[in-house]
Amino acid sequence: MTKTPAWRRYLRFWGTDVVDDVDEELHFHIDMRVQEYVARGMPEEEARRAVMARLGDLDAARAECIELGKVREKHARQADFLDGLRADLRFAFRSLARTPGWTAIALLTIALGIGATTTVFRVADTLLIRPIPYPDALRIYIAWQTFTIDGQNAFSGVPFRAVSEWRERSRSIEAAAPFSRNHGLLGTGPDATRVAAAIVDTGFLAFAGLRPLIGRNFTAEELTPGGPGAVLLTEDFWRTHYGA
Amino acid sequence: MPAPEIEVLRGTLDLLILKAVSWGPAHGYAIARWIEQAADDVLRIEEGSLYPALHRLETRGWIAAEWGTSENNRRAKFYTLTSKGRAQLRVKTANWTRFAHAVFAVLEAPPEPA
Repeated sequence: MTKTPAWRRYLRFWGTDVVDDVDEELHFHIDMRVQEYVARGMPEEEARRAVMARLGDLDAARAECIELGKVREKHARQADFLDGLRADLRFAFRSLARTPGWTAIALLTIALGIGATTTVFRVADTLLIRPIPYPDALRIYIAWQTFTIDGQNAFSGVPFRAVSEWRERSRSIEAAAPFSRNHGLLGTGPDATRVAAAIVDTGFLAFAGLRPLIGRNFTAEELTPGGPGAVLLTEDFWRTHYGA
Repeated sequence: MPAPEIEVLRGTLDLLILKAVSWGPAHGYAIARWIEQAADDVLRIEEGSLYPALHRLETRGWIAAEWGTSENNRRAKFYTLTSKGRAQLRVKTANWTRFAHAVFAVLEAPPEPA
C-alpha cells in the first residue's frame, strides 16, 4: 500500500468528485485517439466521428468506473479517519506522559468521581428503585400504630397478637407477618459481637416467599412464651460467620 | 484487407495492463497504445473494458493512480504498478505461459492412433 501524504487529506475536505474524475479521464482518452487519427492524416472532424464510432457506447463502462471510484473513496475516507484517530491517541498519550503529576491527579479525580457516583447510585438503587425482594412487593405495606403522648404524635409497633387477629379476621389482608427489629449477642465476653436480628412468627417465611436452605421453619412450640429458643440465620450471615 | 483485430478477454486484459504499467507510470491511452503496438496491432483494446479494468485493478490495490500532466500538457490520470501488483504480474505471467503451452500442445498433438 502506498502511503498518502498527510496534506492530501485536506484536498478531500471539499470531496474529490469521482464523476468529474472519470469523465476527465475518458475525455482525455478520446482526445488522444482523435489526435492519433489526425496524425495519420485524417481531418479533425472526421477523426472525431471515427473515434466516437470506434468507442461505441461508453455509458456502462463510465458507470462501472464511477461505482469503483466511490468504493475507493469510501475506503480512503475510513483509512483517513483511522489514521487521524491513531495520531490523536498517540498525541494524547505523549502529552499525558510528559506531565505525570497532572495525569495522576486527573486519573485520581476521575476514579474518585466514578467511585462516588457508583456508590450513591447503588444505594439509591437498592433503597428507591429496586423493589424489595418479596413476591408482590408493591402490595406489601408496613403497619404501625399511632397514639398521642402529651399532645405529641408517636407511633409504635403493632402487638403480635393484633397481627394474628388481623390475619384471622380481615378479608382485605391476604397475608400478614409480624416482625420486630432486635439485636442479638453472638459469642461471650470481650469477643461478643452485636448482630442485627428480628423476631418473627411461623408465618414469616411463607409471607416472604422464602424457605430454609437447611433446617426448618419455627414450630408452634417455639413461638409460645417460655418455649425453646430457635434462630434462623440469613444465608449471608451463615456464610460469613460460620465458614459455610 | 488486414486480418480483423482480436478482442482481448477480460482476465487477459488485466495481465496486459499490469505488464504495460510495469515500465513506469502511464495513462489509460498510453497503456492501450502500448499494448496495441506491442501486439503489432493484432489485439484490439476496447475502451469499454479497459477503463473498468483499470479502476478494478486500482480498487484491488494492484495499481495506484495519481493525476499528473501528460506529454501534451494536459491533466491525465497516471497509473503505476504497486508491489502487490508486481507480485500478481509474476504469478499471472507464469500461469498464462503454462496455459499457452498447454493449448499449443493440444493443438499440435499428433492424431490419435485409430
